[in-house]
Amino acid sequence: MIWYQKMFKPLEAITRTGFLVSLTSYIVFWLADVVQPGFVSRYFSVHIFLLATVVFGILWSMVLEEYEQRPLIHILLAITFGVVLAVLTWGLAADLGVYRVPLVLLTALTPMILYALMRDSR
Amino acid sequence: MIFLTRFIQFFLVAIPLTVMVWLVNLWFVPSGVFVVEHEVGTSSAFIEELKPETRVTDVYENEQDEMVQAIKQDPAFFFLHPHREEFFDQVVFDVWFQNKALPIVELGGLAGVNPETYTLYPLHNRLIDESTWNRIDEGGLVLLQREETYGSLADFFADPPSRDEVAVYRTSFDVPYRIEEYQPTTSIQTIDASLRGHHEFKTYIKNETLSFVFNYMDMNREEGEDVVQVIVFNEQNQPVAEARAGDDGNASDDAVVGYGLKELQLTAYSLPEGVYKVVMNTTRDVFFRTIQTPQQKVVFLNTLFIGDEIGYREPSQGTTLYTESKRLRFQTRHAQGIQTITAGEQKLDIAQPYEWYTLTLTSEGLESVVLPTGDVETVTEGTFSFSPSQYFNPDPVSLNAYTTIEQLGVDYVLAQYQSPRQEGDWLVATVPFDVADLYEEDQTWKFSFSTPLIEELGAELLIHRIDTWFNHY
Repeated sequence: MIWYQKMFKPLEAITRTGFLVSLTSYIVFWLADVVQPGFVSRYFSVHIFLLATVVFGILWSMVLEEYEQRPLIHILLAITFGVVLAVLTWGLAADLGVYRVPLVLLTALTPMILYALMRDSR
Repeated sequence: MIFLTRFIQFFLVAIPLTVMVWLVNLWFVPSGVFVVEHEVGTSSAFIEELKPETRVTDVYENEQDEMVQAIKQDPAFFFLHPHREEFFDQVVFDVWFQNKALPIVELGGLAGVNPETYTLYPLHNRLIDESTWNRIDEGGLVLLQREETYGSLADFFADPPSRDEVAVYRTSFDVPYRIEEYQPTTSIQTIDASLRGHHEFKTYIKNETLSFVFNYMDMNREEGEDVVQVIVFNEQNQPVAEARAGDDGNASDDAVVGYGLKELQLTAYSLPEGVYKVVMNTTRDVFFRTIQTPQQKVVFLNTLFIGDEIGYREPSQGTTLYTESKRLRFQTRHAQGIQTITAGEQKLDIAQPYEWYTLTLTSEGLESVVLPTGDVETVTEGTFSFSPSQYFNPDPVSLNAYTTIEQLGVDYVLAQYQSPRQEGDWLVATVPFDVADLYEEDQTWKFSFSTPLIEELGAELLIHRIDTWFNHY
């Protein structure tokens, strides 16, 4: 077995940090604005962080040379997004009556389904 | 290289953290003061533009490159959206304006709905500012004297002149009103007019029981419960008696009158001599058909809504009012309310619904105003009675936009007023509102500019900035 030391790549580190920070910020600020309407949007658009996420995401993909799989993290993220989507859908679909529960279940499972499809297509 | 990379990563993480700290600071307002500076024409999440568009001009740039918006009709208003309306105790405006022609400009905060009532504060009173009388400014009060008699407001209050000599503006003059020759009687007088919804009146009591019997109908034309509450306030504005009746059990808008005429009795014994204010607090579904009382003096304040008499008696009998006010405004909301109002030799056509019509009376003293079919709202800065003998004027004469100080025939004017300061070409008035006095709906407060005579004079009020301080004590 040959051990290689991971090479430090400054651009990749910066763009990865930018992407993760922007994405986390977008989620946190957006949720803060949902919980307390106007908390963020009175002063600036929360979508600035989404724009930053997209920009850093593109830059990161351009400088990324090696991709390390972390399936456990992916699954955890998919479950987290599923829960968030389910909660949001439950709140928004109050008028849908009997369709509310199946719709919530479907949205809860959507991130896992998408993740499974993306993994199988490789 | 690693250090630089780590520094940039730290910087990227620090940006949203700093923004979050900034937002939390804005939300919790640890200093207790939150300031919103607003120039007309700029968008703001806190303050909306002046409305309605039919009463204001578009925003434009003047020769000094300042943004300006002109109010051309009365009233123009704006909405304020505080981010924590329950947190703040006071809202203070700095209004930057120019006023070349209007005698009085005020800013009002919406204090209640059904009917809409405003708490008004002066922005600019040119009658006071341009008066040549001797002027004393102390503690937010102004005293104008035809001849210099008092050296200070303390002297004035220590030895006040008689009520007839004083006019007031946005303040009270605490010399009690008394009718020396007044004798109580036991004969009952009946006010036979349909009064719709909330009303206020004043009466005089001397060695007698305050007694009113209200006969009313709950017409159930609008959704919601229709509770009737009548409260009596003494000269210190303290409640001293109350009568209350619940809803008829029909909270719908089906216009079904289940119980016909209902009766509410208001009685208060052993009241000391003085003027008492009675507030008839209810919804627009309630029509007071008659009021019976042994009290000889009864004057209604500022607003009368003479209701239709559908389902009570037809044809509607209308009513006759008596007033010393010289400017009255009328509006009907129904085609059936179109009529010709008569005041002495003068006639005024109420030609269409939802249009305000102004009647200017020219005769001196008490004048009768005949409303032949009712169903009309009447507004004035003064009082009304339903018979000449019931009329009295318990309040000192009031300075308003439709008179001059000389016309009031007084020697003193006492006002709660602070003249606006000059900032370049602009006058800046500071106006404070207690949040407790403001009606809030959907995190919104409404403020309205009162600009009487603006259309008659062809004048305009130019607004440049409205800066707001939200204060928490």
